[in-house]
Amino acid sequence: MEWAVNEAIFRSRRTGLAPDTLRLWQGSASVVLGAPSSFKDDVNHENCIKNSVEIVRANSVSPEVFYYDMGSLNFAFAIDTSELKQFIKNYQPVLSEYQLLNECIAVGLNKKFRVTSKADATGVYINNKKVSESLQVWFYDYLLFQGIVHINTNLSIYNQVTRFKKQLTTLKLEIGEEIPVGDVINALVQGVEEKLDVKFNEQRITEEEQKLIQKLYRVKYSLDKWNISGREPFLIGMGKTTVEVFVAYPPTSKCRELIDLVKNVTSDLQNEVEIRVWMRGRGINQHGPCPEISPVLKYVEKHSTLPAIIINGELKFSESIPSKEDLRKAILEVS
Amino acid sequence: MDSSQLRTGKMKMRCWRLLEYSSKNPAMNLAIEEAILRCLMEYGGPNSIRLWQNPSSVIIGYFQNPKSAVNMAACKKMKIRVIRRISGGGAVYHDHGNLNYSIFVERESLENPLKASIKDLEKSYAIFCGGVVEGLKALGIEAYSQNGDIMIRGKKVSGSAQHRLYNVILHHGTLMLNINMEMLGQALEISNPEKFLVNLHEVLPNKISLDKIKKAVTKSFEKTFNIKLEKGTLTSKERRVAKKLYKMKYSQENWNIKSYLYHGGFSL
Repeated sequence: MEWAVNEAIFRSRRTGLAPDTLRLWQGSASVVLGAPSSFKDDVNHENCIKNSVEIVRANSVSPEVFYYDMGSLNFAFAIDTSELKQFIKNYQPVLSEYQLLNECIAVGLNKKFRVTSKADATGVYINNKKVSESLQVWFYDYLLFQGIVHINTNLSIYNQVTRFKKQLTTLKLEIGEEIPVGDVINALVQGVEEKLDVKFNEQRITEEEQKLIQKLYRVKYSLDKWNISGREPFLIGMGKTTVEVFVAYPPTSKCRELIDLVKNVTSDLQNEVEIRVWMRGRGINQHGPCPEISPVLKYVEKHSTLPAIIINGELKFSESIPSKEDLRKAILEVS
Repeated sequence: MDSSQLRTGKMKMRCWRLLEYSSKNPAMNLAIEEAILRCLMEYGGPNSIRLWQNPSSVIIGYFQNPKSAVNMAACKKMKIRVIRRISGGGAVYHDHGNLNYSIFVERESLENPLKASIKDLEKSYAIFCGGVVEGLKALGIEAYSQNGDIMIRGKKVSGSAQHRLYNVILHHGTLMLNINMEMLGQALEISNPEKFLVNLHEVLPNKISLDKIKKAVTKSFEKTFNIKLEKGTLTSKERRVAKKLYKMKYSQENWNIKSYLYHGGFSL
């Protein structure tokens, strides 16, 4: 559920419903895989069962694998990175943004706990050992930067449940004393405020985000299809059911018939269903500058599968016009 | 020519239309390609084979970015137009030393096993290219097809691509007879194209006229599809659709040059 919350906040940010956000949270013992990570190769499933460690998967561009428990503090930045460039010297796309956010953490930790942590694009280090690590996912200029600060994470379990060999440390090991989570939260907040010249305003999850969290949990984060196999359902914006109609440009008579059928079948579902008609040859920006496109549309386009109906990222009908009943059933099944 | 007569008439052998119409405008030639395909899908009619030629031009594949696939500066200098086609594949250079062939087939109109084979992309390429290969063999040339290309002694003499719209297939390809390799090399930024491309005139034992090559190819297609090819012209509907497509698509910079906006492999 916690990772569904992060994604909901990120979606809320990128659709302009929420401001730049930092979420801080804790969760029970879990292994978190990056989206491209392999459950089979990267996780020791037997040891997870033995130690009651949950397995979850997070959206990310890198195949990282982490372990966290109640001795860790988890964070998620959902931000528009175009605002960050003013704080970056010698800008390197992607890496500079990661480094800057890690520097925020390092600055906070150094001030609060008088340690000498160093940040680069890969994480935050104390004595060359990683104390904070992260997973990242992008949507155009928007970045979801999710990670962990190891306060007193059980590193012995970490090494048993993941197959990655890392040089890790915790704040407790480095400072030599118990550290309250509240102090680390304050450190992070201060580090971000100082480094990015912002002032935080504490807010709650909105009702719309709450709805999306439930949906994301139901269709993604509670399912082995995502957590184990890494197969992700396609959801647009704030999670409306998406019907993508791929047709010729200009549309043929059959294409027009199909578009009318989709509109007709969903006329009473306008609040739940988003229709996107993609015309082959009209270009990527035919629905605006930052389109969300399901990966299967790429396959359909490559194979000139005309026309095609893709519902929530799954190719449901191709090269023919479905009956009204079949189409309605297919849409309602995933709504 | 009435299509229903062609489909259900007394003749056992089906008739397809042979079109030998070329516009002097390369963009219009590509609009005609799409118009024939669309009209076959929308209104039915006979399957067609079109043999045609383009003036000096570069035809890029649907998925290509012209800025990386073509030397745009050289094309501008040589007054070579760059036009995007609806089918995939790579950029090709056309001039009057090149013969283009296009096959327009409604899948359901074919009989098994051809109908079943043509559904499969790889097999369909082998069948369509096979028609040209057999035509070349009849001229005494040892040609063979290889992944949509036609090769002679390890060099490419023909490339082809497909576009499918519902149940209708457009397979079109080039056949280099005496193409200007120097201009091709400059336009497509290929050094020494002669190393891997070959003109038919270089390998023919005696110089053969364009007409004879056309005849050999059409005869071979008749055999491949078990059809009779009858010379025909564009219908008024096809002409109308072609004009419309030319106006809204093939004459437009947005389609030819700008429509490719890369995003994670998408072009749409």
